[in-house]
Amino acid sequence: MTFTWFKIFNKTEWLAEGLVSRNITYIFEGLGAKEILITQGNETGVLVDDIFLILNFAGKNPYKISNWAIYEDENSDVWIGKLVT
Amino acid sequence: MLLDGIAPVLIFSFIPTLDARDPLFNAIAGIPVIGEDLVTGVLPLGIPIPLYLDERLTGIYVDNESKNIDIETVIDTRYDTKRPVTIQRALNSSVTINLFARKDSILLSAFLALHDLVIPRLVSKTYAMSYINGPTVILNGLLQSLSHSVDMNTDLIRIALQIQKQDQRPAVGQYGSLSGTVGATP
Repeated sequence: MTFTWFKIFNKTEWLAEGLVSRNITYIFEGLGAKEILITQGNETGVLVDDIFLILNFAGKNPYKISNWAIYEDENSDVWIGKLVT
Repeated sequence: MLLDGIAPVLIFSFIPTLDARDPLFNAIAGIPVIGEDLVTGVLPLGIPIPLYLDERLTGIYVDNESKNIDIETVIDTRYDTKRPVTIQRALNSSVTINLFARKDSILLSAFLALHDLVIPRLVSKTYAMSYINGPTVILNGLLQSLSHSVDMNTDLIRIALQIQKQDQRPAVGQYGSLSGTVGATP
């Protein structure tokens, strides 16, 4: 499966802010403007297009659901991916 | 105020969009700083069309005006005991002008027609409206709304006009542009 990946935030910096949630609107190349919600409970999650992506859910990295995926790289940058094929 | 401080003034500017094949395009584009902005339409310079809002001169006059600034404030709470993070974003900075016009005012037709000319230029933003009335000044604003109503019992027409200040550049990180990389993983 191939995705178009977009780097949206750094997990280390996000945890340092100590926030419960944050709303951000990004203009994704080829997809247009999308509002994403970053949440922090027991796990870090991203809500986009009504799909809730949980980072490292069930030990899976990337974690894929529906047409989206979420991935944390070795620098703790969090990427969300839109399914291409 | 213009006209020796007698009357408020509403100024329309329609910005010409230059074709890159036009020799004038290259001539203007060569002018440092200003030239680049003119051909890309960043600077809203165009032919100014002033309308003087005076009862005696033009038959259109300002009844009252108000100014509004609305700001969206988001307070992000934290799961530790530290102070919440507050993020603010401008929603609206506009002036509302309520006008009266006599039904026989010649300028009234031009006033309404100029607003109609704005419609095809909304997306390209190749227009600007400026309003100057004493302390109330908006330069290079955008049309937010226009309405007019006719009362059959009088010879006056009520006009409500809202002009919005141009958008501020959004904060980085709230409306950033992201380019994508394709692959199984990034």
